[in-house]
Amino acid sequence: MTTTVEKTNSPWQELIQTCVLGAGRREPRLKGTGVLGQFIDNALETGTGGSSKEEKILLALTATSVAMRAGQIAMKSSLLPPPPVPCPDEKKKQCSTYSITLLKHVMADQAKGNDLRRLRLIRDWLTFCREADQVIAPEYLPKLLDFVRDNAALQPLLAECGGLHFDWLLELNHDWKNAFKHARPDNIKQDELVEKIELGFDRERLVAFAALRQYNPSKALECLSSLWGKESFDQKIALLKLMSDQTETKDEEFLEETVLSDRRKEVRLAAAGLLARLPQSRLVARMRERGEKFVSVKDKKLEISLPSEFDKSMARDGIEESITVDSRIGQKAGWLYQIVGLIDPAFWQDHTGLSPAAFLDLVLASQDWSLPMVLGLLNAAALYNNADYQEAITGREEIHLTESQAGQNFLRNLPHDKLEKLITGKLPIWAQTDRRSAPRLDLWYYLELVDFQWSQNFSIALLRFIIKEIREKVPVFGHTFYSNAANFGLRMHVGAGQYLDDFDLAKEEIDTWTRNGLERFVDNLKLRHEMYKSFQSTVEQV
Amino acid sequence: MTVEYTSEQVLALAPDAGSQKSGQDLANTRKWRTIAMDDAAIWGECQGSGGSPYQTRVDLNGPAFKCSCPSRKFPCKHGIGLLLLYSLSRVSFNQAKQPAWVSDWLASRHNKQKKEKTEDTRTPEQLEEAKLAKEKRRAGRMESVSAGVEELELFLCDLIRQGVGHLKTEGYAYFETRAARLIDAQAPGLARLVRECASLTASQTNWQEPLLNRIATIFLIARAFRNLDRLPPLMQQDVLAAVGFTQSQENLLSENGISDLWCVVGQYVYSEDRLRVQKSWLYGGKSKRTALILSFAHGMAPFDVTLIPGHFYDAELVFYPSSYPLRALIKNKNSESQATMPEGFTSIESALDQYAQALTNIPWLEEVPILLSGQKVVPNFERNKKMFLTDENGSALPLATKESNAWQLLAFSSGQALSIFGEYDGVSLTPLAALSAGGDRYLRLATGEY
Repeated sequence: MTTTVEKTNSPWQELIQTCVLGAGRREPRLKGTGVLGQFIDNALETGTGGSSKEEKILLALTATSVAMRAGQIAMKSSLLPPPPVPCPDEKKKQCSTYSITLLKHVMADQAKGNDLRRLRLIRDWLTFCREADQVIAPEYLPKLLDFVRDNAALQPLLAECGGLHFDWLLELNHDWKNAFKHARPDNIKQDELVEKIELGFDRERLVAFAALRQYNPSKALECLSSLWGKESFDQKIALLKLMSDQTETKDEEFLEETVLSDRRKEVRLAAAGLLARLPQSRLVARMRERGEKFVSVKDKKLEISLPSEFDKSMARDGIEESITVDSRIGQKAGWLYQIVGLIDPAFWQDHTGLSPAAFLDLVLASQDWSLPMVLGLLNAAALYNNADYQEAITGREEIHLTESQAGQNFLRNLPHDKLEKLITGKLPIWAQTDRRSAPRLDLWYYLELVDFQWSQNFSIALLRFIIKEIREKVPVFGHTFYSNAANFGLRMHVGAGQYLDDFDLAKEEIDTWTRNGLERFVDNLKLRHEMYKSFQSTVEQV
Repeated sequence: MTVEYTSEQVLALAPDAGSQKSGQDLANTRKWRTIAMDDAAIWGECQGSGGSPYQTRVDLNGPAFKCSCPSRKFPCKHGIGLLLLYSLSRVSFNQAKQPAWVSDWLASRHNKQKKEKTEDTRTPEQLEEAKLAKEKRRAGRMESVSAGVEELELFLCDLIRQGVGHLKTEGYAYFETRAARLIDAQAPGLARLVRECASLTASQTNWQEPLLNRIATIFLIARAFRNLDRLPPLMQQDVLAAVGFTQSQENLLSENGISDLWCVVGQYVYSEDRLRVQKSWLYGGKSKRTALILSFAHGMAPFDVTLIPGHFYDAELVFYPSSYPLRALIKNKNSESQATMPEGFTSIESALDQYAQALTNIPWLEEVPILLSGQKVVPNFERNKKMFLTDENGSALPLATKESNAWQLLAFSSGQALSIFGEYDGVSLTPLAALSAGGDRYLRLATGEY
């Protein structure tokens, strides 16, 4: 037997139900008490002279609405969590209003295509803030927390610049706490990371693997080994890419035994690339053996004797049977290029008894094998960071470093001081206007290849060079000039900004096209310099 | 006296976000050929795309802007940039004698202001004639509005008979048509309330209750208008204002106002029928009164009133006659930056009493300005990540604001008690600004267009 309990609506709920369904379909069932109740009853029974049923309901609705709003009682705070414990007093100095204004200026730039610029400038801002041992005014932290939540590189910077408020806010907001839990090493919980790697979604798994690899590489490798067989092709490639940041001797066994046996060529190639970073690996030893077998010097000439057929062991080591690195390189030359690229250049000295310069002489004179050997050596010099070969290669004008992937790879891996020296040394050549060089375009190629902040002296030298060139010559700039220059402005040493005072674009006699191009370059540098100065100033500017 | 502006205050003067950004770009000395200042104004020459530089000048006693650039925005990016630069780095400005293009402009501004204050030169006959014509126009309008109101009541009765359940699927046109008829009937205030019903039905959940509250308000105003003669004089004014009748500002400004040091405690801009409306709330330290200053502008045109949030003004305000006076006009205004931030209600119950008191006087009031002091901000993840204010007496009040603003407010508080100014609508408080416990920091919470 069931019992029906009739629910009694409040007058307001009763009126709402009637008004939603329509007075034609539902009569309000009201029996109010008190003054309001009497008024409603009265309104519904009599209304004002000649009132219709709808008017009476509207009257009752109006009276109840006003009474409800006016009679609002405050909610009990006991129904809520207790107020947060106040944030401890910040000991560090808060950054100036001017610094915040500059940050807001950067963040307000929502123009399409400016994401990279914005991120770089925010990174600079946070770096300057950290270097000045200052913290961000707390009210601007939430916006930055939202902005940086998906950027692992900026998270630790923000954690430092956020000061005590950073941790305080994270404790109050679970979303932020979750997003920033890797921002501070103390927050890393390895068990959680392992669980994520095992059970998470693809992207989560990669983030967790990267974090675990950073703080406990052995555990990360153990996890990876146990799950490798079940990984998809894409996930395998992504995981190997993450291993490239910090490849260790401990990784060799897994890469050699498991990954090099993978059925997909791309996976084996990626593994070979990682093993090549380990000079003591079996793969490198096998490559050296091949080098010894295939390359020799006889009668002051380079002799190359490659096998007639591609064998399985080469495929297992990540060597591709046919490679399209350069149209002038044939199939066998492609094998040579790949093998030489994975051998430490120091080996050639032991093997041939020739200095890097002498060996290069032979290589360049070797006609058919010159190109694959040079490109392979460029890759090898970059991979093994071999200073002697780097020196020998940069001294050779016949080797055009910006014209091949291998050359660009070589430049990218040159130590900063060497690259700066190389570029500075080329400035007088680029300043000439002979037919052989397209100076300014070539300059940008060199500057665009690397993504690091250039030294102060180098940046100043380059700034002066650019200013001098613009003042003295009719510029012949390519269409990439705008973005190249603007990007360089983002990567120059901020100290070069002080020299911008000597350079007033408005007063320079240059065409509008060039001026517009330079404006972004100058603006980027100027903005970064202003950011830097805003943290250095001991006096609050506002 | 040198007037101080913060960068926040200057950016608040920009007509849109684009001008804010462009202004910020121009707020560095590199962009200006010359910049200079004296006690009354700042000025500079900025190289634009044209041959000769743009001459930009700012009257600091306002502030008021003038620039020779062709921009239709006001103030233009050059004006914003120059004042922003002044607010950030005053040392960059040299003290100098005003050049003619600055002094001439300032002189013409002063002359214009004097001219505005000159008395009406019409003869008594002309005045009488104008008065009669005005009364005739008003009688005609009353007739038109009465017809519109009658039709509106019929519409509301139809709604109640059919039920509002189907309105969710009706779309904007349903209420827009009705609002247009009210515009024709010269009742723009009621038209706005009707038009806004459409957006209330657009809400995902629980849209019926706010909509019926709004219908009740519209019915109340309509019924009050029909019974206008039976209401006390001040309430009659309130009803007419709610229907959309305006009052002559000229007459109002001839009356005595309330002089005080008024703090602009809250400000936002919204669009209403292709018109930008700037709503500024002022709080008088001595009088303890809150005043609403409305300023209107078409498109990118400047607002006729410049008030900077967080700024204090030594001003005389004249309130519109009302049984609960809130809206006011500025009769005289001088800038003043030194003052103590005002204190508000320390208990939420008192604030709610104030709201009830306001409704007693004007039952259709949509929002009431509330200044609360000594409040703590409490986040609650259980309740849709909502933020609440709590006082020392164990009461709480929900905050209606964007999540980002709510967290900004909490971060600003650092967990300490603070003062909050906002608009209370009977359900939740929309915070517009916050003052730190020491009263030394002001946080404007962006709403409206910004």
